[in-house]
Amino acid sequence: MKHNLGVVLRFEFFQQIHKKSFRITTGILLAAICFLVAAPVLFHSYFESPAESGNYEQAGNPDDHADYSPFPGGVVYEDSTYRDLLPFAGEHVYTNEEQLVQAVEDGTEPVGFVILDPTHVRTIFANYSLNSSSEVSGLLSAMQEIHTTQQLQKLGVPAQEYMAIQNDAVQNEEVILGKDTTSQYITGFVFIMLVYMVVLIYGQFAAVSVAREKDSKTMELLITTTRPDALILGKVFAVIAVVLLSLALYLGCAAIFFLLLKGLYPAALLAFLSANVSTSMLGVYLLYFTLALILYMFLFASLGSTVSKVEDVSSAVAPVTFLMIFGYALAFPAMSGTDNLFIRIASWIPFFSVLLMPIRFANAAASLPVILLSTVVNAAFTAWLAYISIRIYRWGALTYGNKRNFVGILKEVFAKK
Amino acid sequence: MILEIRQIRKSFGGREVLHGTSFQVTSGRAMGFLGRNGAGKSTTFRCLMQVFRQDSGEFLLDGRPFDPGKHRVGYMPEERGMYGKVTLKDQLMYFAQLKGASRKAAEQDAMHWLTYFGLEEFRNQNLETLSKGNQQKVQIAQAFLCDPDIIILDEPFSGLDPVNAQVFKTSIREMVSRGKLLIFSSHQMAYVEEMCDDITLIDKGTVLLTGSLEEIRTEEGRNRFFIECRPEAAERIADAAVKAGIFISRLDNQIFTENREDALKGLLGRSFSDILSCGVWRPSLQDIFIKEAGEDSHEA
Repeated sequence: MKHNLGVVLRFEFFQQIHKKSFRITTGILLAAICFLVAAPVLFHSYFESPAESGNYEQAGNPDDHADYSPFPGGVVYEDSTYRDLLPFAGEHVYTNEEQLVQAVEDGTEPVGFVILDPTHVRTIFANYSLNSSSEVSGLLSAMQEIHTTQQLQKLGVPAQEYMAIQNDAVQNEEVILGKDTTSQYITGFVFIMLVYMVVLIYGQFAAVSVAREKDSKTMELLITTTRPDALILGKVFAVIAVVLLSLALYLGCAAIFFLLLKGLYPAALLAFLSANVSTSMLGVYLLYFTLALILYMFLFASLGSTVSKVEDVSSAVAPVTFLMIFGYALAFPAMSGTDNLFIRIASWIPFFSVLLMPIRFANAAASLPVILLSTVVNAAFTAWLAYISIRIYRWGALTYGNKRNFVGILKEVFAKK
Repeated sequence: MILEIRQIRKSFGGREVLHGTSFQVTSGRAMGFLGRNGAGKSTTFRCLMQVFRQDSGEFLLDGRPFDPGKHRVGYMPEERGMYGKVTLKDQLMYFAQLKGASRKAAEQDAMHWLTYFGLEEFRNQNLETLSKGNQQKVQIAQAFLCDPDIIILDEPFSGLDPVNAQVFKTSIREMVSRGKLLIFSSHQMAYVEEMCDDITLIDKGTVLLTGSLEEIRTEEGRNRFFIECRPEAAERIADAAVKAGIFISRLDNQIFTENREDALKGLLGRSFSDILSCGVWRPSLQDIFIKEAGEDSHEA
């Protein structure tokens, strides 16, 4: 019998990419990526550094209050010290607190301020949310500045000298002999999220694809036409090829858009990206992403062959889903630099290793020889798992009836001569 | 080619379902494999195709162990199933490529069989959009891909209407005339009788009869003579046969007797004007099936 790995792979691959759902999803994600990459240009001002504050010199002068941007909201001056220093327009100045409360309640003012004395203000909110504090911060810092300047004047200290002393901060010059592991957080986070989502989504897909062949009775025809190893290998590699093609499309699209728009990016964001995205780590992430895909796709596909109906797939693959969730949960402490005995041991267990080892490498908790050894161990384990999966697939291909537990299945698979 | 099925035994969960099944199939002669539901037909085919491994016994092709992977075999399993959401052309091409055809040859072959079975206009439609009969034709077309030397069809007639069955019969005859080794199982005796040169009858995992259909019919009818007479004369002629000591049975106006020339001459001569037809009895396949596999053969 001819080994038809190429034929199966090609058929499964093109069946997937010709699906309308795949094309629509890919199109939507590509558009989303283009938008995300263009976002820093479209929302340029958001990424700019906030303007330097500090108007001590001017703040002491009652005529210089125009240097502050107008604050949103209305105000009542119970203490008149700041009456002409704060930038509230006349229509937003109320004579008493009741009027101000009324204006906030009916929505005329987003927020109300009652200036009680130079160091005390009462803020009135219609409703309070996470953003509400930001509505107050501008007024508070302005009042603080004015108060400090006025106190300095009373003490006869020139404001400029005070400013100079304040700016003369202690300088810390950091020398990093190894890696700046804090800069790896973002790429590590993206890696974990990507592996988690892709493995669960496409794993389910691989399992359903196998189960559907049993459900539709195509299996008997297939296994009498070609070898079971060609069928499962072709199916798994087709799924991996589809994932890698999608990833290449997304990354390629992002890279092209980024290169086109790079000149328009805010300098601060470029500096941030340069510090946080390590191209040297991308190879390791890609390698472990592929290893994770192969390992988990074999597991999912073989479990898909143990059920007779498509609707039983989710319960059959639940143990593998839990494995993945557990690995995902372990990865978060690892990302924040934790490298205790538990994480070190888990990083050698292949199911978790594919998630943890690149993170440990990025955090300098694992050396290059360790990552190379881990790659060999993972590759060997994946090859062994592929062999087991082929046996399970061959056994499961024509086994119909009640669901069996995984241990029972393994016993039967290896009991057969 | 001669395919020999020799002493095949197979058990499931401790229950033996094939008890030393043996028969042989010769290329250029269509073999009908008959039996009731659960008789062991599909299990025999599955062992032959190595879906299951038999507990003992062997399959020999021209005296050598038969490995379906090393021959061009067209197989249609009892469990029908192809990809519902794939076009007819794509999936026939896929199966042809799995059987070793190049992409171009696979496309030509797929189109040939789609045209042959009148499905050309549906070539770019998904299988699930076709009627059951047409889906069945796609299954049969799949078995004929890549010019197989050995064709094994499990219940190929089920689901086919008389017109499509005729198309299929023609295709089978063509295959047999081209020297293919062909074996199929069926419940429809008329089709088997019409198309098969050889039959094997299996019941409860045991082969009851195997050989040339013609020889089996002759053998089964040997020493039996039938007389079809006018209904009003049936009782009188049957009584005369009893008196002559040759009576066997009577079914309405059909009387079965022993084929004894001396006794029959007098009986036939006396009742000549009431006899519509008579001769040595040639049982139908239905008669043979019921006789061998039991009167309660409802499937037949």
